[in-house]
Amino acid sequence: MIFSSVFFMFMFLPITLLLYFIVPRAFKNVVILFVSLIFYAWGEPVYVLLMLFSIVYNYVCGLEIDYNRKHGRSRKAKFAFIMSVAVNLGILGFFKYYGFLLENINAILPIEIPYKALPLPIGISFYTFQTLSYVIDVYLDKVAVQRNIIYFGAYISMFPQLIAGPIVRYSDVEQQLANRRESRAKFGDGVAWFLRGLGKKVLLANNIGVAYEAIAALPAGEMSVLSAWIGCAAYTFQIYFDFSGYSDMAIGLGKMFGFDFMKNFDYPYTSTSITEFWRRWHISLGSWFREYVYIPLGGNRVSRPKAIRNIFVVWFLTGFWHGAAWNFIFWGVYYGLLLFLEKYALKNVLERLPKVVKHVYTMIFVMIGWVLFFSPGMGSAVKYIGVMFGIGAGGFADGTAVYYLFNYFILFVLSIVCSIPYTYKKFTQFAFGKKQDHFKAAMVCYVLIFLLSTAYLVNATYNPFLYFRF
Amino acid sequence: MERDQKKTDQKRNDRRKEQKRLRHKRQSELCRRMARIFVVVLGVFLAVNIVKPKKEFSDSENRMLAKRPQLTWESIKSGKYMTEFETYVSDQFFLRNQWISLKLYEDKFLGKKESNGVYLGKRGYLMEKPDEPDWKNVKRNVAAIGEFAGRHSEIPVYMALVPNAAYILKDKMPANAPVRDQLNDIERVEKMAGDAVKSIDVADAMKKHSSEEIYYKTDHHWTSLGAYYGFEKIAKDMKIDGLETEYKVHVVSGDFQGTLASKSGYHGSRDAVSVYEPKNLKSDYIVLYTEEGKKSTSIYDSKCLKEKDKYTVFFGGNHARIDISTTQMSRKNLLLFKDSYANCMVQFLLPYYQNIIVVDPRYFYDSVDSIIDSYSITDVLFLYNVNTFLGDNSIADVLIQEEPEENAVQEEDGGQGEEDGGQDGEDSSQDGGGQEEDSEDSQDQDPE
Repeated sequence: MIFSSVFFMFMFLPITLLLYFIVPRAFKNVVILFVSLIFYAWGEPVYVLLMLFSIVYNYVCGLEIDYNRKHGRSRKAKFAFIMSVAVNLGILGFFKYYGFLLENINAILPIEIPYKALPLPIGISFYTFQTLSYVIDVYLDKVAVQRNIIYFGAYISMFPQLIAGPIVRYSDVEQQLANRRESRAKFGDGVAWFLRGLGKKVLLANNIGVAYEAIAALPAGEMSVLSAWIGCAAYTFQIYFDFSGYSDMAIGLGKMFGFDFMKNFDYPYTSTSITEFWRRWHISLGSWFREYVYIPLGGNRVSRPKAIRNIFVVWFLTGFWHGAAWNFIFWGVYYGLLLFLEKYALKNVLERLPKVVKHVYTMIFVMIGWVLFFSPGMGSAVKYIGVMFGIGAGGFADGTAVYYLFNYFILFVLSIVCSIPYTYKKFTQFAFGKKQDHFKAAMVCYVLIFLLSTAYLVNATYNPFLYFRF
Repeated sequence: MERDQKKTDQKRNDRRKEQKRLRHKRQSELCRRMARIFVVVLGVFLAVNIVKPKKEFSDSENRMLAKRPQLTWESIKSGKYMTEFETYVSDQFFLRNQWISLKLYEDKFLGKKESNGVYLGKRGYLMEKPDEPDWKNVKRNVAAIGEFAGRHSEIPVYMALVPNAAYILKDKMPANAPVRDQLNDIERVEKMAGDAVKSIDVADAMKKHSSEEIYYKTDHHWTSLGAYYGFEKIAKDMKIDGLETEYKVHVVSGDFQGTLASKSGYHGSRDAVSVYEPKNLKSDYIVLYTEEGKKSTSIYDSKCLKEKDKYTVFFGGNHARIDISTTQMSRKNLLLFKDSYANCMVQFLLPYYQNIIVVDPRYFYDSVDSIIDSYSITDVLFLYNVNTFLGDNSIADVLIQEEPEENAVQEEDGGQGEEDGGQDGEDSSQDGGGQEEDSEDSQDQDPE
């Protein structure tokens, strides 16, 4: 089930809200756990068992680690901890990377190991990382063990961030699980977050994504340089609005139930360096890797070779986390390389450049990164990047490029407007500034987003039956 | 002095604090109202959707809407129940058609020039976007046609491929919209077919008349007028003499909204459907729909004018095989392989043949060669729209059916095609599957 669907918004959500707010406080987390499991089972009826196993297993592991540590049996605690991490990563590895691994083994070795790629359980990359944050922090005594399995289950399976993040660390919501306050103002704030996210996803991402798909489907050799850049720009906006829209919806839903999740995106496309970009893009993932991989490895407080190794380890894993394919690994290492260069070689050069140049530099490399990301394989990624720089392109600009530029002009403008902080700042200044009535205008905006998005959601099943070949 | 400074600082601070307090107040006021509105709206939407009587059929989409799925353990376990339930909720959403129109307005505002694979052209023209063909499949079909022509070298075999509106009516396309070069496609097919097949260049004739209404605005077919210009060229190449010079044009419907209107969702234009009656060369005929065993004295089916798809006024749609015997004594007999483009062209052919056998390979599973013998066919014509022809996967199968000794040769042919296409088995099983699969099929095929 996805948030941007008629079923979620007009069936699942109202019923969930109703349930949540009529039950007494003691049962609120029960409702969260219950509806989250239904939410998960809705798309993955069988894999919900995996989710249940994950909850029970890690709950028990947490208790065991805690018990052994408190009784001075650090070895046993360590064993339980390692077992837990191994099992979590094992499950993730089995479902996500098993097929990829065998594919590559088969390619290298002269043997043929038969394998059947399993369908990936939705959200497994996200909830595995959430689980790990709990187990690690319990082991390191950073958080108290959770003795209430309902609370723990609610944390692992919490439907707002279950399938696409943000990756909420246990330490961030530990207190909120036990005592949080829902309020009408907070609920409304959540609604605003949710609607902003909905608009980003449905009105911007989905629409501009059509341009990317059309251009990506152009026959080989017929793509001009301009077309390639337009297609890449369209994808650049699509993935940002899609992902950040989804995160915003998750944050909004969380607020409706009284939770505060961390911000996941902070206007990444205004960055003036790659380093800054990664501080603003998918913040919860970046901070997870920093907390649980980079810093434990020693971060940058070790010898230089080791520090460089640490950068590449983290970015290799970041890439691999995004998907079991070589182009994701390259994408991660590509960023590792850029960050390494910025840190050790380009630092002084970049500092002296004007802001505009730095911004252009950042966006060009981010866009090239997205080509690695969206291409089905490394071969086609290299080809596409080639076309962007005139190699194998069908001319510099052609009618097709002009057509897509003009037809998506309004969307590109809207996308740019919506990806800079200035717009939202002006909006709040206008709405909550001097004039008392202006906040009503803001309300009209939100209602419009709601109605306009709903039209697209309803249209999703528009499926005329045609006597086409008749 | 210093005290003054402090005072103004203090004042400024106070003002800032006050502003912040006000902003916070208004923000939370907005949030509290939003909360109320959101809850009310969700509640009302939920209630209306539950109470609202369920619709069975959507006129604008021309299909049955999803019903509430049946709850079984199996359907839950496989996830089928959930998917169907989601479709059900969306299909039965209140004011569904109005929401969909709102979406189209939004698209228009955003400046989109395409909707669901249909170009939104100028002056109300909707134009189908031709698909990228699967050339391996095309090769197999064309090879079969060439082989067929070679096998019947005593009979001239003609092929006329009619381009789509998007290619011919370039001035009505959205500016700079990319279109397949269908002339290029046609030339490629001609080369593949070889000398045994005589190609008729209809594209040129269509281009000459591109300022006239030769294609429907809301349908993917050519109009009767377009078919007439096509016929002129075909008649010339097929050496039909004594052509009719005057027709009486009957406009049989003025409010036709065809497949492209449904597909794109844009219902802004309406089309007129006309039939052409020759003034001098009147002939009587009998139409036999062999599969259905139905006979008729008219190629028109006026009942269809009351239905949505008014193009089916010609023969009531597509049929596996139609035998038309006329009172004409010319002893010329035509075997016509065709798609739906031919349906409105046959009216022009009537006065010149004694028998016209119309075969639609998509629905025809019999032997073609026996028709040639039993009707002593004198001409063979393949009349297709380019897009349908390039997406077709049934022509080869129909032409390859033969007697045992020749069969061996052709099976080799077919076998090669199978290896090339790699999807032959799939295709033939889908042939009978009906129109929907047919249309999807051609879109799903990989580019070359």
